[in-house]
Amino acid sequence: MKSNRWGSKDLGVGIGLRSPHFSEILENPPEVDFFEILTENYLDTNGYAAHVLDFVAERYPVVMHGVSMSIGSTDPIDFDYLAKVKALGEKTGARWLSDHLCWTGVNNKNTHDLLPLPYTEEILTHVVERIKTIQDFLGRPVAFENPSTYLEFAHSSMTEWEFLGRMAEEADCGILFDVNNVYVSAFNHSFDPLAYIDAVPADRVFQYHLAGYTDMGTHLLDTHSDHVVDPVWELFGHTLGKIGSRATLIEWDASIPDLGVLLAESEKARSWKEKEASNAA
Amino acid sequence: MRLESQNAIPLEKLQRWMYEVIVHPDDIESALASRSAEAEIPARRVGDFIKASRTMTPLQCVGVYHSMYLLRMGETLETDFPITAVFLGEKAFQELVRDYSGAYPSTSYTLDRFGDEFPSFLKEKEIGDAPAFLADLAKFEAAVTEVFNDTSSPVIGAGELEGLSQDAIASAVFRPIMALRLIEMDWDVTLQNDAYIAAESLPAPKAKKTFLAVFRRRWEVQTIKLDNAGYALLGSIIDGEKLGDALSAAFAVAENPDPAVIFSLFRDWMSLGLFSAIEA
Repeated sequence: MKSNRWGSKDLGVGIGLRSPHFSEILENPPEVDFFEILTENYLDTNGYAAHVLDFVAERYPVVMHGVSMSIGSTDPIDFDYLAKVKALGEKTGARWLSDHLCWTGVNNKNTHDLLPLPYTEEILTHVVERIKTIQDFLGRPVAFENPSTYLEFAHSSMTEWEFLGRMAEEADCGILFDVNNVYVSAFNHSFDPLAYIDAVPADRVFQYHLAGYTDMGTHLLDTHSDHVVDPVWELFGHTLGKIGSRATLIEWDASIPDLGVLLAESEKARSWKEKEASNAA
Repeated sequence: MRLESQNAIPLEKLQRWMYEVIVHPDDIESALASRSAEAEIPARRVGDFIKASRTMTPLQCVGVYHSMYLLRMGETLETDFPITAVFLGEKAFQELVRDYSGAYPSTSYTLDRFGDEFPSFLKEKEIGDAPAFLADLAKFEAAVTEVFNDTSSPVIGAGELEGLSQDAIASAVFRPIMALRLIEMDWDVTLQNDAYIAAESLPAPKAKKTFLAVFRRRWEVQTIKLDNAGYALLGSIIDGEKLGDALSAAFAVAENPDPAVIFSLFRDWMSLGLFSAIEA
């Protein structure tokens, strides 16, 4: 299966670099194919976290995943922030940068949440222009992740997957495809997750995310706090068949387990990739 | 191109409204009815532009985001000020989170900056029997976080003094490591810090003038209690004074102005790695 249009490498299966695992990673570097870092956690620190990141970047491929580009916001783009992102990307040799299809704040105030947008032509134009500006500044394509959402706007004139696909084409950006987010949003908004997956432009996808969620009764909450559930693994298999093999990461950010548990989960992702590869052969 | 709905609300207005609703400290009904939210979009219109889901009303849908905001801010402050959180207890700390979030909403791309004003906020706010104690405790915890994240420096040891004449040592400027903070407090917060580290119950606050050097050795944050003379000496060195002048400042405030005792303090600090360079 082909890579994306930028020819980015399928880095294999990775894990997020999280502080509870720092000492274990330094003492006994795990067998993982790559690490993903939460960009904002490393922009201003020069202490232990920076030391661990240096150690990791010398030994593994690193990709950067941010939460503050706020491509949907009506606030001005924060170029000071982007300059730091760019510098960190150069320092770590990050293979690619990613963020989210969302907005996080307005009037220079940040909620630090990934907030949903109405999916309209007007807002598509707004987002596309901002992404172009950001990518010009960074000098590289950025992959944007489909969010988990808990509300839909009545005035949306297209589905999220239409918006995401058109955004990627018109802004010439990448996609970080989060399979769990599709499952969560499909449950919350009663749409067919396969329709979403089948519409994603394969040649734009850099990476996959997998994660666990919390069932709140009335809705699913994307908490990154548990194992990936079987239906999401099934969707992952479908995604691999439709889009192809890409770098795949298990996100686990709350109730973070021992490193061994996380590595076992990532091995499960590897098994799915190998199974799909043999099916395709 | 498909026609947009007539219910479309300008994005900027929609975002201002959603921000006001999400960050409102009371329940979601109060948030929607708040003056700041109503100024953007009347509460009665919510059903016009937010869809009901299979299981939730439009109000409940936006309520998901609202319910997570203070939890997130609370987790952030608890991470940066864990001893303050334990001292206050969950209920009082959450009330503080709510008040602080309203007074100092995050304006940074990172949550690491969210607690920057927390010590001064506590100083202004009269909480409990010893409000000044809480401000000192938070100041100490902020210093620990700063030091933990600060830049590593090369370190010189006490051996660097060998071979230097007394005059050369007196006229030298000793540059401190980056990961060093000197703090002055009216309460001895080391009692709470020691108990927290030992996973013991926190003792009652004790009013006592306290000077601390908070620094990082390798990757571990450590503290040294200083007396008047030590505080004056280290403060003068950090300010860039020559060691001889810094020692004079220390003698002036020392209870026991014994040059050997005060100079031994300095040698101890060198052994602990508090300095990164000597400028003759």
